[in-house]
Amino acid sequence: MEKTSNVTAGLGFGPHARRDRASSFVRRWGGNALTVFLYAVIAFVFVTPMAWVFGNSFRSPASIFANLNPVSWKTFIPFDEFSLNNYLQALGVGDVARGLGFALDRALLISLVSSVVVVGLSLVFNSGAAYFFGRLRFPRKNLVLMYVLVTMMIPQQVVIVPLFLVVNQLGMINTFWALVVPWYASPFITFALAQFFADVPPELDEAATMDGANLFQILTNVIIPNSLTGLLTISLLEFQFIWNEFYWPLVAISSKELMPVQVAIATQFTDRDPQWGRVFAAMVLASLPVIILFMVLQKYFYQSAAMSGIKG
Amino acid sequence: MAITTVARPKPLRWWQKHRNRVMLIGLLFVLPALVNFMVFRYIPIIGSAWYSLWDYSLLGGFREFVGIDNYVRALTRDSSVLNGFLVTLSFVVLKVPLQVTLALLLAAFASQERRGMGVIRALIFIPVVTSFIVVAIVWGMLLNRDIGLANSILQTFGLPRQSFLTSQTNALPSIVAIALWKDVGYSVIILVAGLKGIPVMFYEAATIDGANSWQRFTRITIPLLRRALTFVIVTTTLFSFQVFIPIYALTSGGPGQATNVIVHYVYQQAFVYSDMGYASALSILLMAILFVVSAVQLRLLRRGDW
Amino acid sequence: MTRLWTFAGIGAVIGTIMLAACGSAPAAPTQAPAAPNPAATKPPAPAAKTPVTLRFLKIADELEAKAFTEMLAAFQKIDGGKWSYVNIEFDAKPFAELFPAIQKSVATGQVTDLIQSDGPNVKNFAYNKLLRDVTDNYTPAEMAQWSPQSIVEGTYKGRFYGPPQNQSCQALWYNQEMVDAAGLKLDTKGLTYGPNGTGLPIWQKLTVDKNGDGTPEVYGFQNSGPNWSDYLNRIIARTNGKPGDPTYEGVSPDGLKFKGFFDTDKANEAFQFDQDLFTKYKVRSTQPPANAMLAGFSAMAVSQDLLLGTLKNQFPNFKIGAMEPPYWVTPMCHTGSWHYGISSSTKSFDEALAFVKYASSDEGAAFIWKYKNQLPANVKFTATLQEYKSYPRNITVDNFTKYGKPRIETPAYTEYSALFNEFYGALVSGGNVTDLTKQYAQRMEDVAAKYAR
Repeated sequence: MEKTSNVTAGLGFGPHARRDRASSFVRRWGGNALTVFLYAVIAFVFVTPMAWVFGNSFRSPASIFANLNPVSWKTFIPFDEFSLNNYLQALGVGDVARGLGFALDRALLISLVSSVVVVGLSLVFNSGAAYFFGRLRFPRKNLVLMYVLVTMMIPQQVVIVPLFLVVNQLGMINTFWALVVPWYASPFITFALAQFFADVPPELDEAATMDGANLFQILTNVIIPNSLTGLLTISLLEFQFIWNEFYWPLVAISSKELMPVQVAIATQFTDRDPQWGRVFAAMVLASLPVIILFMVLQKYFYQSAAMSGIKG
Repeated sequence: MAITTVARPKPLRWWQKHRNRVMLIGLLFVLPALVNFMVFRYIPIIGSAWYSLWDYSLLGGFREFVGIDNYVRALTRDSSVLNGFLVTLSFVVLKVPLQVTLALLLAAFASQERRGMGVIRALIFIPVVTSFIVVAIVWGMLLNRDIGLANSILQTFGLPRQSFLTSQTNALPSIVAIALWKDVGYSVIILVAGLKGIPVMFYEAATIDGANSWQRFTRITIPLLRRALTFVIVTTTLFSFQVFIPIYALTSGGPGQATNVIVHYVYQQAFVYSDMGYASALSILLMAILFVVSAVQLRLLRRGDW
Repeated sequence: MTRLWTFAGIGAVIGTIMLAACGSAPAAPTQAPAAPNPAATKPPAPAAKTPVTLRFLKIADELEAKAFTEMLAAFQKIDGGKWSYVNIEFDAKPFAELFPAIQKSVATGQVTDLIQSDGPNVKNFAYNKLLRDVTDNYTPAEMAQWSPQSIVEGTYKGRFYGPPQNQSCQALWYNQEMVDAAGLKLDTKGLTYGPNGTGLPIWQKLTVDKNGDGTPEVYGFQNSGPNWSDYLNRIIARTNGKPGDPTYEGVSPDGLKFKGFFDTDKANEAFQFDQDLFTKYKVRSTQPPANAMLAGFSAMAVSQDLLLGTLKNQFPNFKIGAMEPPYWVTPMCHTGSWHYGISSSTKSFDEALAFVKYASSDEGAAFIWKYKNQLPANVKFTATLQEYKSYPRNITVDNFTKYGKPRIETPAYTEYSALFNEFYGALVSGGNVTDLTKQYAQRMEDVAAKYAR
């Protein structure tokens, strides 16, 4: 029997469903066809919009609009012209682009570094806080939890002005730190990690305590290794939050050198019509890093978790 | 503690008692985060609460102190507030159950280790990472009445063309669909991480004991997924109540007031109608409502957990 | 396990290194390349002045960026290098976010020197004491450089707050090939609105529904852009009045009353016809895609001449024709574009004023024209431009001179504009026109009331 996840054990399809039924051969075929069908539906629904953006990022605007209506395969595949011009321009490669002042490469770097730094800091500070909420005993913990959750209940648009004033008092406005320091801990991440930490069996804690481990060592040697999948998933989400931040950098940063990628993309929309091909190229470039990170996460951690045999 | 020859041991100070020391050390773990929340979230919230007591506009500054008048106005004199909350409630009631259910199904499907499943997971996640500008442009075109793909598909099935984002009845469901498309990936990857944490042995043992698929699902999967599921439900609700960007990018609250969710109305008051004081008051009201909603949800879902 | 901490540690270290490389001090202002100034070759200016950096809050636009960089370099050379110590830091925001950015900048107490203000917003900024009153800093000769509409736009309660950067006006542009294919011969005189006007039959002819499914592949008429702006869509109502009457003026002289101006019978008649174009005659799409006309989804569109820039860059094979924009009784085109405003929080008023004067002079306008190719506000300068002497561009400048009228003048323009957008969306969906105008006129007055103080 192949070593597959038993997660779908209860759900009526997948390897175990096959066992439950009569003819193995027929069911094998039926199961596969269903899976493939589901693949197709999911792919279609989730990816069509981005596929349109991706396909048309290699075209000039005239060609994009010429193939827009009626919708057919031509709308998605750049059969009539294919060029990397849009990408080169967006990245500021070449004299024309430099002259025009495009510098998506700089913006990508800023976003990358700020996201990495925030995730790094968050792994330290949010893990600690999540350990507290998910594990340690403390009177009135529920109140402290609500204290944390309440901060997620107010819309960003309204607190952004007072937040600016606070950050300004700390002297961080228009510096790299403004992109990072307010997020070194985050209620959403803390709450999420707390769930995954709480799922680690308490017996492991007790075993470690009996071996003489203190609280910190329990966190680093027991909790974290056993919630690796959750930890990395949440880190990925946090990376993505910072990567997609728009309103805060818009108000906190005024110099072009420190502008992160979402703001840089928005600056392509002026009072005239934008060059759609280049806009699409910029958007693809802006989405790629997170997707690549996700693929790496999957390959490295989902598969390895499955191999261990203990966890599904 | 060394045993001394003193006849009577001194009573321990409170910080020397082991139990309290554990508590203090525990506090150390969470203190930096609490400081962050205080400085970068609570102080601004208090700032907003202060603004809510004034007739305050961003450009005009503080004009006069009105005390709770902004709140009174929101609750008694402004029909858009009620409309905002109703529209938001409709949005939440549609989106949260759909998102949680869909995410659960997709997560169950996508957590299998089959060929191509990694790609599927990535595809589900792609909408999450796309910026809202893309979403607005692309979905605006997809749902365009005249040239949109959605209507082309409807036509091939012989159904009449629909107005999506420009129709009072269809606008909100369309926004729900778009937001669902974009956000379900978040929930899916969290649930997949949760599913991966359920030991295979449990399922094997249950099968040996004669449990069928449904029983395995309800007695093993759901209970062991409860924390992740609670998290997904609570946070999806919180974020859905505060939905803003799809409305801002796609309909600007229209047509009419059909999609003018409360946070969009707050934005309009703050930045268009020059009344940040009123916008702040509305935000505080929203916060109070969300507090109650979350408290209720946590009580129902956690059942004496920690 | 330690792997994880290593990863986090490396991340933090990389971050710190990057940070050091970027420089943790507020980033260096964007300087003109000629900043190491040529004054070295001239007799040194009396006493080297401490450098002054003006912060200019404006839209992010790569073409404007080039224009201003060159303009700044030239500015630093005038008067024997008198202003060579002045630099500008461009704080550029995305177009849709400029107004909120200005609001946040003011609310957070940031010092700005120059603000790029959209024409109709000047009154709002003036009301909020955001801009310096510069009436006494300009001579009548200087004011005469600009078109009268620009002066009206830059004025609030009789005081002048900011000279114009650009102007704008509309023409009715059309797809020459489609017009020829429909067998129409058009001259440049404007079409008229109304069920009995000259416009309707032409638009009906140009609307093409080949497969007869009720949805035209090509719509006859469009106002450019999918956003129902007051800039393009209020014109039909105003043109149904005569200069001086409430329908034409559109708002009370103090800019605060809308009842009896927005919802007059003539305005209702015009809006009703407008609605019919969408719902009854179906010559206008309720959801036009971007670049509708250039992309082939509509045959005619009302738009500024910025359209020609897009055409040149993105749709070079398009054959375009132009004529005066349609009207009901009195021809009109809405004017107004960006203005330079000097912020009241500035600490370098003299330098800011000097720069603004230079930028809005014919010399400065030449830089903007060179890159942006948009109708200038400097009358004499425009008269020298060849492009505006020939078809099709000459239509725009002729319209401007003959029929150009500023958008409705009110300090509550942002509020009004948002309400208009909402109103028009409801109109297009098929609501009752008279009820809508009455309702919205009331709401507009309600939001404008606070500017009475």
